Amino acid sequence: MTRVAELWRRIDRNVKILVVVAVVLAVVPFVLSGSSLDIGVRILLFAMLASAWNLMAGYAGLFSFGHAAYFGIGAYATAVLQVDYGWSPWLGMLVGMALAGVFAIVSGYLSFRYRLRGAYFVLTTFAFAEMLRLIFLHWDFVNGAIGLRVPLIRESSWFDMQFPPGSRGYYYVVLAMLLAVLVIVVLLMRSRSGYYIVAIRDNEEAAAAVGVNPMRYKLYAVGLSGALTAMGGTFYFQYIFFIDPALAFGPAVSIQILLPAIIGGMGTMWGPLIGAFLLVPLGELTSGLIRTPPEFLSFLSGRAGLDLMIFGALLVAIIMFLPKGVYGSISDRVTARRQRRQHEEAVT
Amino acid sequence: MATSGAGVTQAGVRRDAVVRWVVTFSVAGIILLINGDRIAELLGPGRSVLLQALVTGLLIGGVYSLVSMGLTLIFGVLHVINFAHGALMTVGMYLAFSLVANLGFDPYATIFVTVGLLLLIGAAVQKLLINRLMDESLEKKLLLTLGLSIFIENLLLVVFSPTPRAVQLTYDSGSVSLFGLDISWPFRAFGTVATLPRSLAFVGALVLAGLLFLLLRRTKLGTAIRAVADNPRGAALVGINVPQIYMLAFALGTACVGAAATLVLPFLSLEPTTGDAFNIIAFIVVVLGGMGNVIGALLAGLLIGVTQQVGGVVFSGQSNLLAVFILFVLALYLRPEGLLGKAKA
Amino acid sequence: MNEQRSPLLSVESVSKSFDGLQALTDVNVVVPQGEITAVIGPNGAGKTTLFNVIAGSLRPDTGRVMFDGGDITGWPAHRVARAGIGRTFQLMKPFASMTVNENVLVAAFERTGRRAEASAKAAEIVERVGLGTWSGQLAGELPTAGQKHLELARALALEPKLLLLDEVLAGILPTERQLVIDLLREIKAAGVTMLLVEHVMAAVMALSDEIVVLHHGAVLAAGTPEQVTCDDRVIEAYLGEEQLIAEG
Repeated sequence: MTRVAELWRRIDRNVKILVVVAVVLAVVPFVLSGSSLDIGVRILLFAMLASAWNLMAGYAGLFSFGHAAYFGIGAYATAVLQVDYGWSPWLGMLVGMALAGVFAIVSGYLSFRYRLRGAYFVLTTFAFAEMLRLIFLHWDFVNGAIGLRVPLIRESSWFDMQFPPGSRGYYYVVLAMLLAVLVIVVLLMRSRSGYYIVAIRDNEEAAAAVGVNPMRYKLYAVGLSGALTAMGGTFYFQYIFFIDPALAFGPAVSIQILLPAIIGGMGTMWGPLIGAFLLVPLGELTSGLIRTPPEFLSFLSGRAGLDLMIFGALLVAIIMFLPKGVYGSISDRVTARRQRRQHEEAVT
Repeated sequence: MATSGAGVTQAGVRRDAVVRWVVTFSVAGIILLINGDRIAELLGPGRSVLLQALVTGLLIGGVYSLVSMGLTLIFGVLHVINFAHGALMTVGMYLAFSLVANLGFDPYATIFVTVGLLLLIGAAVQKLLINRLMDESLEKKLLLTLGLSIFIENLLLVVFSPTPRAVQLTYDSGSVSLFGLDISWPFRAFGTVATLPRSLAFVGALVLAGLLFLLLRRTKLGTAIRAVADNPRGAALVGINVPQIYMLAFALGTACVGAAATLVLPFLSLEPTTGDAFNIIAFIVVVLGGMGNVIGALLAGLLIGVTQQVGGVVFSGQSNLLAVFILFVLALYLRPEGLLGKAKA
Repeated sequence: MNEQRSPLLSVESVSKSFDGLQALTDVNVVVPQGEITAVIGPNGAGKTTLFNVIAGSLRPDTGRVMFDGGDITGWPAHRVARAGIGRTFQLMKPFASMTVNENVLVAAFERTGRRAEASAKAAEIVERVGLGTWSGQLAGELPTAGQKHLELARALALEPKLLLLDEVLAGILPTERQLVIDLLREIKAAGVTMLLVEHVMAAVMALSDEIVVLHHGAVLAAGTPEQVTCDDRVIEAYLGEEQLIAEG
């Protein structure tokens, strides 16, 4: 028994949490159903997107305000290949991931090579996403503003990533994607590349002085982040059966991707997940309030925008009072206490 | 200090610059070639279309300049990317609209109220919210203003609903006799038309821009603001009340959008999202003009206005913003520090 | 004297100017293998600029840098590091979000890609420089002396052939200096060549095999400590140089 216990102790803490989370999430669909399942799917989707964003912005320190670019590329790659050529969305997903990864690397290279920092870098990421939106809006090949629809089949199909409404298929697909992203993040952050990426974020000059090639590892982080985000774009198209340039590349998308990570805790492993678990239900709750408000809130009836208003206020509050996000602040306090204890023990 | 790539010798920098200029002009040239016939058409038989685009672009460019000068002032002094700039402009527009629709104000008379209120709102936002984060990272400040922008825009949506509103000038066309000259509007010259509201917006914007410039250059307050932008610590050491300057600079920046709001209301349709386009454009203008550079914002605003309209007629199937973005990316590639660099007001 | 063996590092006729300010003028420095060479000079003499040119942060306008038989002029910093030159920074640059161990781990990864191995190596070096009790502490929270030691530990983890140490004794209490001096001697004994920029003259005199004096970006004198301290030009440049040595 002690050998097993010893082995268990040595496994990385995050891996353990990941296993528990995976098991819990896998069981959830048997408890929930119907509309709650839909909320579950959205939570997992945004947790996954936020985690992918977190890789670039949190761990690599490259704040992107235009992740919609990669999301949209993933969605449209799948859409075009499926609608025009009948390809399976899984293949479309791989193509989308590759295209998004390349786009990320090229745009990243331009920014890094010409030393765009701070505000310039952020605005450039935004500009690239907006450019894609504008280009797709008037591009006949992708059906412009009209958008593209998933060709409906009448059964459940894993090959076509399509399931009847209420089925658990979508849930498990997005869960698999989320777990894939989390596993990648865990493995990456324990590896040499992961340490290099964080070192570059903390101090690029010092990292170079210990042999780390800043350009290579920044591009690595950016490319990976872009490719993983594209995966989410593919799923989104399959899930809502439709895509258009605004839904794919709009600023709202970029914002929805980064918010869970910020609120949960940027640069932490679990922040994005926690953020998604907080924000998505909150959004649903307020949308529900608007649709069918109780007596005393009847003036809210039909008022669009209330949910986002709350998001805006929440974001302001979090930035001002909990800048490291919910998870980040807690984690910080725990770490500080542990360190103090460790140091005291070592010294005495 | 370069750690990779671009050489930091004089020769290396020059070589690098040459490459950038060559690539930029090649890309620009290719884009122009692709649209060759359209351009030929515009330069020939379609000349009036091109001229009209130039005029319209210049006129709206004036407003872009005003809005962007406020934004660049805020960035230069507080190092805050004020993402709520567009939303605040929309607030100003709804304010002006309410005054016109409910109290019968003349649209242009609302300027006193919009400027005054936006001044106050800006001061309050800075003092109560942004001030706490002054020493924090750029991204945190951006996220704060982003949150604010989302809040404001959706508050407007909840209060005013998405129904577009508009204001009509009773004196949209007319004439007047000034010093013996008969002036009538809309103004016509060289086959182009300039409507009164757009012309007034242009003139008004430039006048206000000029006033802002004078304030920054010729008054004690302006000097204090420029000092803080340059060196906050040094400014504090010579007795300048830096927190107060932060507040005032932000307020001045938002006052600019207040004024712009009044100026554009007579010719734009008003919805909660109206400020968005101005937001995006202002950011591009500010980067192009050099962040913190007020003159740069003025010139770049005009340039972007023209680019937008001319781009709209050249790339006739596309959004007119596309040309703006292409210019933006090319300019960043070419001169990341902006067309006029870090030179100040 | 190792006249026959070529020097490990050779800076040849290096000049560098910034916007009209001439930081280095025709500087020649030879660093023999296995020895400790110190670069001294008043503030602004160009010492850190020289380091930056050698370590790859800056490209010289003229001249070249030869290391271990190869031309490394203009190589980017990470390539120089991988070639075997480790450096510390005068203004410390810790990886603030990581612990002391992790900071050194990043450097250790250069030698081996496997985490367990690199981690063990890092822990060993952390002990060696005396940061054992701080190993789990976040680097950003270390006191100045600790951060200085961390800089050294990181550079050591690269297993470099040449160490560039930029004011590694600054901010260290006089009582703790001897520890650092002993440590540097140990490192030398292990075969590492060192180039120091240092203001603490006592250490310079105690450690250096060679001294190069920089003044206004040019080499004023070079030689053994005895030769240099008796050199009239050096004494003139530093009024009261001998005083400094006496006070140490």
